[in-house]
Amino acid sequence: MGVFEGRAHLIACEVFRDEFEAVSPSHVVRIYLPQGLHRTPGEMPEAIQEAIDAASDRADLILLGYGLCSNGVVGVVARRAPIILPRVHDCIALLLGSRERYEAEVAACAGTYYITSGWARYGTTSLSCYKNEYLPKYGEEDARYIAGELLKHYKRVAFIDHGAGDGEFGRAHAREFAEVFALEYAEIPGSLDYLRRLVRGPWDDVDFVRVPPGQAVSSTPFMSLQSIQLP
Amino acid sequence: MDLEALKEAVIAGDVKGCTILTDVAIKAGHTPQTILNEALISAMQVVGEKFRCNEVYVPEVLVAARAMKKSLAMLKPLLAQAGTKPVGIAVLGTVRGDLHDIGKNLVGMMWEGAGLEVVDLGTDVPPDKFVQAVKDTKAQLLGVSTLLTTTMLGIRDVIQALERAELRQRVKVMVGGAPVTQAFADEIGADGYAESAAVAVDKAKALLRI
Repeated sequence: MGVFEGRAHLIACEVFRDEFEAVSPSHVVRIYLPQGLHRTPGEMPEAIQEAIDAASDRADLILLGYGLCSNGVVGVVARRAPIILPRVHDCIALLLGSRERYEAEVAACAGTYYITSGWARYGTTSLSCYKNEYLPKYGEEDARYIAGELLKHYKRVAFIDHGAGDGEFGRAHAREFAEVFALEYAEIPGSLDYLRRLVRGPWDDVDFVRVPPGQAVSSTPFMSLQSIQLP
Repeated sequence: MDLEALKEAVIAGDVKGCTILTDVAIKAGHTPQTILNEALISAMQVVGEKFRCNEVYVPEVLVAARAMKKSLAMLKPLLAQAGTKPVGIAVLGTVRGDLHDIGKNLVGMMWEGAGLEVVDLGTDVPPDKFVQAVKDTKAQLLGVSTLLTTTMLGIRDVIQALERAELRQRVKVMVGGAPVTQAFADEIGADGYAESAAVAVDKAKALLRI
């Protein structure tokens, strides 16, 4: 299929801000919503719907910079434009460049906490929660307990380096994370390819889900993906 | 002495307060079963409801659970002394590929509080390990959990593995976890679904008719 010539609006999680700013053609209108909406997945579709409705009259195509994200995209609908989004369960496959890369990393080390510069700058991580929320609210002992429970099964922190955003800022955050919680530190290459394909096309049916105008996004096309297999 | 203060201490995650108040409650003559039901389980039901409404988040649930666990540990020897036998055996685990367990751990605690003996297999549990545990323990109840949409279908794998091992009829399967719904539970042939640890107690009792 050819290059899309109409008015495309991208509504994306802010965790991808630097990445999308690096790869988007200038004519794609870009709106970023705060990172972390998936923590209240019942409320997330409403936030995305609001952004879609705001773009509705001016967009010929809605691109969502989200995966299934804990079902946080389920139910959103664009009245007069199709919606296209990547066929992934969460952002990590997008930051690594493919589902296959993600599956390989999970097979190598399932207990991995992934960090990018976008996560460090625009999102919250267990480190930022520990420092900004748990410590002030609960004091060191309880804060350590909470973080410990959340990170119990993680073995390493992996900084994903894909070249976009402030790499040093992201690395520093990931290194501190590893140190504070006594986890291994790793750096793994990322890729902007999948994100680039989202904003530029072409959109094949394997890597992208296309939802016709007036139809709601459903979890079904995502659930037909094989669940991650461990050796 | 009423148990309201102990209940509030659990809700607030005040471990020290819980320790003191549990001791006071025991000395005041409350039975361990009463303390368990009226202070501990009811406290976690309040916390569960607040979590559901996004009034509190995972950190508050964790500290409340830790306080409950401390109290429960003090009651356990007394419950054993009272000759309270387990009302049943439950196996619990998070599916293969998923390392999350906070919700599952809460369910385990609540089921223990309800009198079940709980065998917790931990996280990243393959189907045949669930099957083996049900076989070995002769459990009446199996709880399977997942937080990730990527691993949800793994719950169906567990149910299918039970069928292949001809154990499916011998155990009630309850499922849960953030992305799980009643519709999904029905589709994969589970016996029960609970949207929170608090609800999981009542559902387990209903399934086991206890």
